[in-house]
Amino acid sequence: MEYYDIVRSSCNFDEKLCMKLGFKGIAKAPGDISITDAASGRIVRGERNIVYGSGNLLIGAVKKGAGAVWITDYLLDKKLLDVISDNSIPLVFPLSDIIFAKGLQRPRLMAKMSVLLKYSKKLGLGISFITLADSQKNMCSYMQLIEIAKLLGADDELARTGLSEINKRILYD
Amino acid sequence: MIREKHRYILVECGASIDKIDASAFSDALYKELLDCIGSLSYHRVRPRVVKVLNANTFVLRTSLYGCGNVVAALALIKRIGGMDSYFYTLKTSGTIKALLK
Repeated sequence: MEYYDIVRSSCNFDEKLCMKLGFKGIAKAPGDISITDAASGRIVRGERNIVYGSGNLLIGAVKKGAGAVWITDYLLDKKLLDVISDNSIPLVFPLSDIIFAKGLQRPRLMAKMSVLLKYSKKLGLGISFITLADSQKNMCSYMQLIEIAKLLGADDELARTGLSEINKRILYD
Repeated sequence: MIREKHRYILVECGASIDKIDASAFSDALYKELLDCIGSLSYHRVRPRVVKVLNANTFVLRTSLYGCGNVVAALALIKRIGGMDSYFYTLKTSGTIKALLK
């Protein structure tokens, strides 16, 4: 299986590190793929992008043609998830949020993410796991991403698909 | 007698192990892992640094059950022995021989 990751454009890495961490490719956002705030309204249909935000703003962005969606507050909004499902858009889980969280903030965040993941799984959404790391030291190997995804409630197949097929689809389709 | 199954994990560390004493490094790592995994699960995981390969790479042994937990926990540890660091899990295997091949 070939695994792909997306990091922030401030993250410096070389091809050697990419291979060492077990990835076929690591893309930078913004750069290789754009990352857009849903509130900005600058969403171009057909462009490779990740749109972030929450609630009704994100519903609008999905209808305008977002490439992938990141729900920043991780709240379960069934209406939003139904719209995402109808448009067959992948849902992105940046695991750097878990890595950076401190103390009780981390389990709370993980609980929210697990609920969102459980419902997304039920709807059959494409689920993507990325690091979105801002520096080299915050990057993870593909094994670490898979294990963190499993902690959130993903099974082995879902975690591996999220890192390979879904990420490839976000980056290259 | 039933032999317990282990997993060996090849880990690259951002902090130089040479700068800290190897045993002090291990103790600091166990403490960080305990923080991440929690005391209720730690006894089932039983992590041990079994081999230091060079200043940045070492082999960690865990129980078969705890391998996943340790791999995830290593991604969450960003400081060790008062120094900023990172831990990349490069490979896992059932034997040291296969791990270092």
